[in-house]
Amino acid sequence: MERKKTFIEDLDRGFYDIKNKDIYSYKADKGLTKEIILNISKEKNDPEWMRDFRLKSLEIYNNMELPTWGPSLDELDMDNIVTYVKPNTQMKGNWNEVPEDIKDTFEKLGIPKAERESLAGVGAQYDSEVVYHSIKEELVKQGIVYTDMETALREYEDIVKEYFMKLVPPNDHKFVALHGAVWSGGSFVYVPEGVDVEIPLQSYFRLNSPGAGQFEHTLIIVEKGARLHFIEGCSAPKYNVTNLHAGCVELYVKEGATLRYSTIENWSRNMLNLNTKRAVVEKNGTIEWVSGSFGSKISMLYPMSILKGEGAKAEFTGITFAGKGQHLDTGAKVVHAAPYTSSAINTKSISKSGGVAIYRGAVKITPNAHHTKASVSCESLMLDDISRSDTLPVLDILNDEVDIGHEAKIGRISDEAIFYLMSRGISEEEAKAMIVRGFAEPIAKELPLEYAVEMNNLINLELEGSIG
Amino acid sequence: MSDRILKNINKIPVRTWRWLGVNDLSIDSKIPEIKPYNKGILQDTCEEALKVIHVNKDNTNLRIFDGLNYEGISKEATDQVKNHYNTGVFIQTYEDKKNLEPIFIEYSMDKESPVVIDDNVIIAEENSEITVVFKYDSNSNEKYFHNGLTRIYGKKGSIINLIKIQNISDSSIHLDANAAELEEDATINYVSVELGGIHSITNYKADLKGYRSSTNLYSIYLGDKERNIDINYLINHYGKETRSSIETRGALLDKSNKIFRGTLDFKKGSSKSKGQEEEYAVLLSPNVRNRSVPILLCTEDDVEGQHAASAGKIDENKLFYLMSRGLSEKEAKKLIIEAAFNPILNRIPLEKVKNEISESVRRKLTDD
Repeated sequence: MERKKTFIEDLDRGFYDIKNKDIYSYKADKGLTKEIILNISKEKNDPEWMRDFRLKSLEIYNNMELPTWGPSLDELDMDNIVTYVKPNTQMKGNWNEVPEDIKDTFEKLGIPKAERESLAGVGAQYDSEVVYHSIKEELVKQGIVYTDMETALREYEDIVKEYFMKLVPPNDHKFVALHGAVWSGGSFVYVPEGVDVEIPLQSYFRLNSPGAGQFEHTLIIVEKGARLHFIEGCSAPKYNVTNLHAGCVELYVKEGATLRYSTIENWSRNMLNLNTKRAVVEKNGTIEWVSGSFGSKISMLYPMSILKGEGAKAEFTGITFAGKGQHLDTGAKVVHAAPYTSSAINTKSISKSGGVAIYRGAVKITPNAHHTKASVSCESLMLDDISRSDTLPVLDILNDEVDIGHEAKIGRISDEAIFYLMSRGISEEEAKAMIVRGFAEPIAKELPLEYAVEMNNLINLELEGSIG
Repeated sequence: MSDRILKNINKIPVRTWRWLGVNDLSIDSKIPEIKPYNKGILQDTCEEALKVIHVNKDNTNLRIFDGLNYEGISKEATDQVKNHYNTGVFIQTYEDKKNLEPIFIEYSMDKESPVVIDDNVIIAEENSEITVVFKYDSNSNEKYFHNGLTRIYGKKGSIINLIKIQNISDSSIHLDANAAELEEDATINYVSVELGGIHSITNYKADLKGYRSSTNLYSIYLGDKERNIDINYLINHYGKETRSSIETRGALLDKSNKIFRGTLDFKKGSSKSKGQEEEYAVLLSPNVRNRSVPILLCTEDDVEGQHAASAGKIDENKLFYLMSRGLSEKEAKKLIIEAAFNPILNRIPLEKVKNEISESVRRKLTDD
């Protein structure tokens, strides 16, 4: 008996695809030269050390080769990417002052509404610069800093200088070097010792300009015993030219502190998303990553946790959904560099309509990291036979006092489960959608409510009326 | 002979981060001069139901596999076997012949014959069954070199039991590549026991081409002293309803270092296939390095693939129980490892060889 195959149309991305006119106050030339970097630096009023840092990064970029693994990046032509687009507005602290078209975009993405209802602070970046930033008054009184990176560089220069690209140095890989040269925008968060930020902060990154790159830098420092939940969202309308996102996230989690970093990424499908995220966790600190990858044409994203202090913990929960024309190479890395550290990686991936979903991961246990526990679990769901799903984990253990486990599964929606649901009066389409939602459920429940709803909507959009 | 042959060994089918050092292996060692190997290798007389021939330069039977797309340990290592082999065996069954006595082939290295370059071929005709045991060992602690290639063709409905045992001296280099292609309903059961060498490098590729063809792989390794164990298994599911299983267990002591790479590749068209892979490493010294790369590749939705890898100290409850019965910690550990190895050692069909290997495992676990 030939089994029925799943067939799904391309996704209607609705409001994500709304394009605004490409209006800007400054736009760098296409490509990457020393001159362009100097112009960006001048335009941004960098201090001298930052200008030198950019030039040094450019030199590293020019001397580095592309990754020898992963998806092909042949279509990336740096000579055609605009690395800096300054929107035609200054950063505002009052939503009403944000220009109408930009405001409109963020309204549709639900940002101000979420701010009113469930966030302690919001940042919104449009192309290369942050256009809006706000934080609740009582948080400011507690000494919490939440601002855009440019302001941080002016007002907290010493802190920025101490931490900026120290965890992810520009020589780490080619796209981090690129980031070091052309970075712009992003958020800076500083949570003082012992402060518990009960409701989340959120930054939203929107790339509107065609053929442009976005290179925001996020730097978060959570001091001793403090707690923070930070949410990051990204999207862009679809153009026929390649856009590039090479952001960098550096998270410093101090002794006994906890940081949860949640992302729902829904870049348009002309985007190359080559993003680098890393956290270093001190004694008894915790980093929790929640990561949803739905958009982009190509993604290479593997948030890394370095457990540097005794008793530090890392948790990674991720979902990747690759549809037509998408190659999403995602995963997580953990380095256990101290005794009594623990980590858990849980990922789910779904591929359909020719999409490629790859889990790539690494867990390394250094010789001194005795009494370490690590577990990795990956599940993949294939919705048809024209897609691809690979699992490529590496465990590297240099110590015997450890307890390490890895497991992975790959398969399709079981006929028995569908049959069972259908026998209960549920249609085949709804049964399949239920099963996919159930598959994603462990991730959905880790997300803030509105994001969980958004993720479910994305899954429903992908599956609606087109199975069977 | 140059040392080029020992680069780009055991490449994984898809590459990953370089800093993990698992994409391939290079070893720093010169290849010795290839001397003739003139010893008899067949340890028992063979039955009438088989064609068994020593290979030699004029033997055209080996050429039948030249079209087989198999790189082996590395292209250079494989070319060395094809062009410079000094021994080998060609085994072919007759159709429908089953219940044959196991064939036992021993390659033993010593001062006169310090190098074994063996090219082996096994062809199982339709509905036949055959068991072949290969043993590689040495009679002293000199440094020896082995580079072998075993190519297997399983025709419709055939069953091949391949058992490879390696117990050469601790300073030797052992390269062993095995490739199998299976027709409809054919099965290969491969048992690998790796105990010796400074470099123990094994490679197995099975192409499950025929409908319902299958392979089961059982392997054990023992890392002691400064041994480097490097494993690369690749199962390609081409046919419908194909089955595969990999079960690997090992123990790492002293300063040993292991890389396990195991790939299950479900090709488009391999619908209703199933594969599973399980690897477990017991770590017995703080100075070991244990790397695992269990890979699943999939371009077909209607399949089930699973893998699991785990590593850790010996089960403390078991240890505690045995010690409460009066065993020393060392004895208790030895017993637990032996117990883990036994199900796989029991697959060796020759009592004498099995006992000898069990004894060797025991000795290695006792030596300081």
